[in-house]
Amino acid sequence: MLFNSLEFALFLPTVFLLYWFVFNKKLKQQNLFLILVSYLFYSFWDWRFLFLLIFSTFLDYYTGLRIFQSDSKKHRKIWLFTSIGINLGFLGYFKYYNFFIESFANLLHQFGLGYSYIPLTIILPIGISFYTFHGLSYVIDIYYGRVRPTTNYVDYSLFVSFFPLLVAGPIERATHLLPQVQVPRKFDANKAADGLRQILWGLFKKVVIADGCAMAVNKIFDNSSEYTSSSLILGAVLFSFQIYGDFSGYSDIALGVARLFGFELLQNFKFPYFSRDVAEFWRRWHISLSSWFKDYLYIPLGGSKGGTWTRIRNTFIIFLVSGFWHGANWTFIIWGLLHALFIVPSIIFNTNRRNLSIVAAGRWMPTVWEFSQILFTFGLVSFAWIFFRSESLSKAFTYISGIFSSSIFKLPNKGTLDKYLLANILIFMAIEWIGRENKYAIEKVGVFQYKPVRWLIYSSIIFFIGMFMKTTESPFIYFQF
Amino acid sequence: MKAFLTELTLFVLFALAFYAVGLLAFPSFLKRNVHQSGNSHFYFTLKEAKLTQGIDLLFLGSSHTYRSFDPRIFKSAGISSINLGSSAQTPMQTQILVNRYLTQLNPKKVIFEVNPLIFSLDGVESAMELTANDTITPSIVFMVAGLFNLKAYNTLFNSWLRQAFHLNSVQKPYRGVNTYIKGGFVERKMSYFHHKTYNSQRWLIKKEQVKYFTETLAYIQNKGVSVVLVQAPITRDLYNSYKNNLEFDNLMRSTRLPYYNFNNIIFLDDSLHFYDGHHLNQKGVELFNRKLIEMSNGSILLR
Repeated sequence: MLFNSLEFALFLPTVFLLYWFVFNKKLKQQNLFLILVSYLFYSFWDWRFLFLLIFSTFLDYYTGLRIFQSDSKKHRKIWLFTSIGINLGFLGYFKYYNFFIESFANLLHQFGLGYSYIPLTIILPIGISFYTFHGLSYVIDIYYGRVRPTTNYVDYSLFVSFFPLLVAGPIERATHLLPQVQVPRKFDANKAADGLRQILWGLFKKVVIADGCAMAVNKIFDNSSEYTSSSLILGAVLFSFQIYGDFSGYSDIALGVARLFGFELLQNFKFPYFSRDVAEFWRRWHISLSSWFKDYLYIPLGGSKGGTWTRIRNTFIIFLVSGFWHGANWTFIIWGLLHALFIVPSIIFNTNRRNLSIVAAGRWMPTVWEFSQILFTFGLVSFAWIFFRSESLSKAFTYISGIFSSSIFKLPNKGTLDKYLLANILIFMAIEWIGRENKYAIEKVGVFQYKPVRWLIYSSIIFFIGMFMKTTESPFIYFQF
Repeated sequence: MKAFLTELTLFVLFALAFYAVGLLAFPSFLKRNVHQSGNSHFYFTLKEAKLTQGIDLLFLGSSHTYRSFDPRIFKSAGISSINLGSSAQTPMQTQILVNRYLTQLNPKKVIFEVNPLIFSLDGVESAMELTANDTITPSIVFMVAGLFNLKAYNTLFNSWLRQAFHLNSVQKPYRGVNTYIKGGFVERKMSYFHHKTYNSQRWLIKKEQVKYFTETLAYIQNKGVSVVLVQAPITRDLYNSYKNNLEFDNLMRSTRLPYYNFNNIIFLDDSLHFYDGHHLNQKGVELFNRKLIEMSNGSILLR
């Protein structure tokens, strides 16, 4: 069941009303009900993988308790690595088995050794990368004493399986979400209204922007050799908007839905395309994942301590792992490494924490310098997205060589772009720019004094969604990870 | 909570009103997810159907129907007819049309064009065509509600509004590549099909459509009208690319109604008698209709 489906439009109000009117008496009722509907929500994709989710939940719950109860460091370590090993084992099997076996065979082939293998037909359980990281953060936090394990299995299950974040994040932390699970939620009309507003904006991003871009992007990337250089540049730029609209749209809906049930999830995006350098981009893009890698990989590796070369090494490691996390394909690895390369100069010159504030805060427009920085960063990010979007490295290189071909001075191919898409993107980016100092672009619409103005804005967005929504199913890109 | 739900309900009503105004007043480029009325021949067909009574033949089915059965040819043979075929019409929509128009049209016989394609579709396209061009009735509302398709919902809302406020302008039948012919037929400007190769494929028959089909047949027969099932010809290459045609023939024969698969009866040339893989050109229509009439003198049509 997709967030942008009519089925979900029926599911959400039903669950909302039952939650606040029927199961609102006790905390246990609230939590049990949310677990059941979360499992139901997950079952709409493939009920068989529900068992894997339940097993993974139990594993982390149990090992978390054992780590906490163990009196020796050795035992704690054994339980920690049991959890990490099994979790990553599942992830490795479902996500990376074929990639490793194929890469191994190719490597042997390079040395003239024949190795035949049969790739397995493995279905990737939806959300496995997300709920695995949920569980891992929990046991690691217990190991380092940052959090006490919960003895309530229901609470822990809800922390892992809460349906708004189950399939594509944000990747939550026990320190942030678990305390919210452990207290009864009381209905707050302002929060609920804010949730609905964020859902609406998320739907706009997904349905109008991302799905609008998808058609042109698919055409261009699937037949890149037939397009002029300018069309290919346009394709890469449109994909940048597609993936942003798609993933941040999903995150907005997830955060909004969670707020309807009285939960605050971690903010996952902070207007990343207004970043002035790539380091800032990564403080604003998929924040729950990048902060996960920072806390559980970058800092344990030594983080920023130990000199420039250590920082560069650690940066390469986390971007390599981050790329690999996205999928078992060299394209993702190159995408990750490219970002590491983009960041290296700022590490060397110690400028990677230069842009911590919001660009042009308190002003209507950026300066020319800020604007050129934003454009340059967007260009770099869009270039890296070519690898992310391409099915293989060879296709990515074909695409890039097409960009740097003699057709660079030709106009985009006729029919490449839906004439209204460009206008929609411009309107969208203008709204994002105006709202960039808030949690999401239209957050402050809620404080407009005149209700008719607020309602007109919301109704216009609904009308746009109704007119531009694709009638065929269009899943979110990040579901594949 | 109560205040929140009241506020939300008021907002939903406001948003619906805004949506309605948008549908009625905004320029058409903003209304991309709406199937507009008057866009197809079906608008005129239904207009005619409402004024027609007591005919010899009623044709039902998809574009294979409204592009394959020419009422002028049947009229020249002394047979009056109307063609209620519409784009991608599946048995789901045929059932609604039959329930609505059969008694009034009072045909002596129904020719139901039964190509496997109509049994393999979800019915969304045809539902929108029907919703955009016919008066909205509870059966249309229920049909659209069950489709889970936003464009179909938009079309329903738009049509209902236009009908409620009498905003449907008087349209004129179009002439051009496709020309509307009185009686529900669409004549295509003469053109020829360029050979195309098809991969081997199979029809995927939806059980749901078979259910609607069976119910519709029972309804027609209960009204005392006999039914003949006819499969209009498609290009030979396309027909042969499907590996389970026999399975479909058997399904049709299981109705115990007369069934004629003209892909096996009439031999037409893919290039000379079709303008695309699915549709006859006017030359093909004439040959096919003459064959049908010729056979009718024996048994099919009027006895």
